[in-house]
Amino acid sequence: MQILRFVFACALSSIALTGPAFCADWKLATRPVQFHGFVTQGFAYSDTNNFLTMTSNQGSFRLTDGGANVSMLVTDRLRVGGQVYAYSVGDLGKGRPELDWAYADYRVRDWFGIRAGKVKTPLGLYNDTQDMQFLHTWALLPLGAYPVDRRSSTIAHKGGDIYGSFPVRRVGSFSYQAYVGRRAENRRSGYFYSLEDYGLPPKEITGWASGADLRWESGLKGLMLGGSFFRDRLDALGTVRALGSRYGFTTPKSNTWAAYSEYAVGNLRMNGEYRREISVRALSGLQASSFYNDTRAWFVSGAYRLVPRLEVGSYYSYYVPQYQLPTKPPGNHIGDVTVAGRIDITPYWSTKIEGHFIDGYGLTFLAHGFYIRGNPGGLNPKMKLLVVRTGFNF
Amino acid sequence: MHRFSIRMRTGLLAGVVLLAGGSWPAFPAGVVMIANAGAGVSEASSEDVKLLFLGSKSALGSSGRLEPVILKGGPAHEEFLKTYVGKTDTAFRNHFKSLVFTGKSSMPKSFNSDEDVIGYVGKTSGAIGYVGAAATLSGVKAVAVK
Repeated sequence: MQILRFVFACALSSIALTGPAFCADWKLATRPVQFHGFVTQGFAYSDTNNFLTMTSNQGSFRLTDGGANVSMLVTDRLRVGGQVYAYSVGDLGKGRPELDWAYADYRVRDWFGIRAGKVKTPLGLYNDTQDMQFLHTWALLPLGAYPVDRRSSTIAHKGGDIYGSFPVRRVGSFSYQAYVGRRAENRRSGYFYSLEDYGLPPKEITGWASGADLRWESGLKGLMLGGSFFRDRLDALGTVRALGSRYGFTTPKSNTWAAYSEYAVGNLRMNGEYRREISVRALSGLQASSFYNDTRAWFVSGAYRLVPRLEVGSYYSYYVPQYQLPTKPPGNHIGDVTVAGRIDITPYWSTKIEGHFIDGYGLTFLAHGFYIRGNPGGLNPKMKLLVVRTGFNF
Repeated sequence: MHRFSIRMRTGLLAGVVLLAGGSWPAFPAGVVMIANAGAGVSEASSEDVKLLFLGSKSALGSSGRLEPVILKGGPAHEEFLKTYVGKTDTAFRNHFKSLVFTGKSSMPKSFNSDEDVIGYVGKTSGAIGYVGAAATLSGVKAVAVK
């Protein structure tokens, strides 16, 4: 928690000094060392359901996160660094710092480099930057693709990456990243929380992840197109609470594809993303022997910066946890119309006010924000949600 | 008639520039790109400039590693971003923040004035930046952008 306090002190000094210079730049053996951080505090109020394990229908301030990183260019080609991150969202995260990323990066050429360590996983538009609310117009990213409570499922892997970028004459430029490594589900994540809701507390969920991401900055000014593939192989062990017996599952197949785009011209920015995940889980110690899922999620968004300090925007997102089943029931979709305003008080301090009009609550077994524990009277198919979030970064 | 006269004047101006053996300036009129005198770069394509200042490229040809530096704001900064990087100032800073907070890059050094940029580029091996066209270049070399 001391790290978070230091981050907070630096963030406050950033406001006081209207600049990050106080904390950001040091030197070590003539080489520059950079130190950066951020902290955000939010408030959520909903009219019906409790959301994200918060008591949001009474109004909740339990929406806090922050991180701090240090990095250094050791030689012209070698960079090392690491970041600590902590979040506390309702009952999730519990404010415990975790190593977000830490790796050595050797750039052999601009078109080929290697990273080894714990690396943020590229998937879709925002997976690796989803915690950095200061980058986004939105207080909450579209929850079908970027659910706050399930960030640890895809956020990073411990292993190796290759990456690079290269221009192609008259076509634009391409950047790629491919990776393989181990990943572990955070014990304080929504994944664990929802399984506990069903009397299936897991002991651990670990596995392998591999995939690739390709982005094309097209020759058409402002247009970027991309695609990602993510494959994970999980092993989970847990207890069937009612029986006191053990259960386990593996995923012989779990593949996610994402296609995404961004068009930014002047003060206007439009984005879209489509995701599909197909997974098969083989179970042991439970009644069912396998579990097949075809999950879909997509969103479109638009944002416009009216004046340098004010941006407004809206998005529509839709999420279907089990596309192989009828999608109309509220337990098998979450639609979300969001309108948002972002005020940049200084370049390092922003505040967002956001309204969500949510239809459906999805599958609580694979919860995206809606949990049976926080809603013992049952879930309402409609919900309005107000989120206010302010954050500092330096 | 008025519209015709404006077109005539524009055409004449273009003709005069071409006849004089010149060409339309590739770099925006209000911005000059500069590099450390020892940097192995004297010209660059506009696409290279974009990729360099977005962190996708770290060198131009055989220049060795280059360190892009930027202005904190002002007309030259806005013009540079609009013409070559194709991003607003907010989008440009967010791009770098996304790299910094995922460990992929450092924040480029930024300066308040042309003089500060020229001073840093002049004394720092591999440094490359841009300043307003009216700035007096001393101890640095201009880089032609095609």
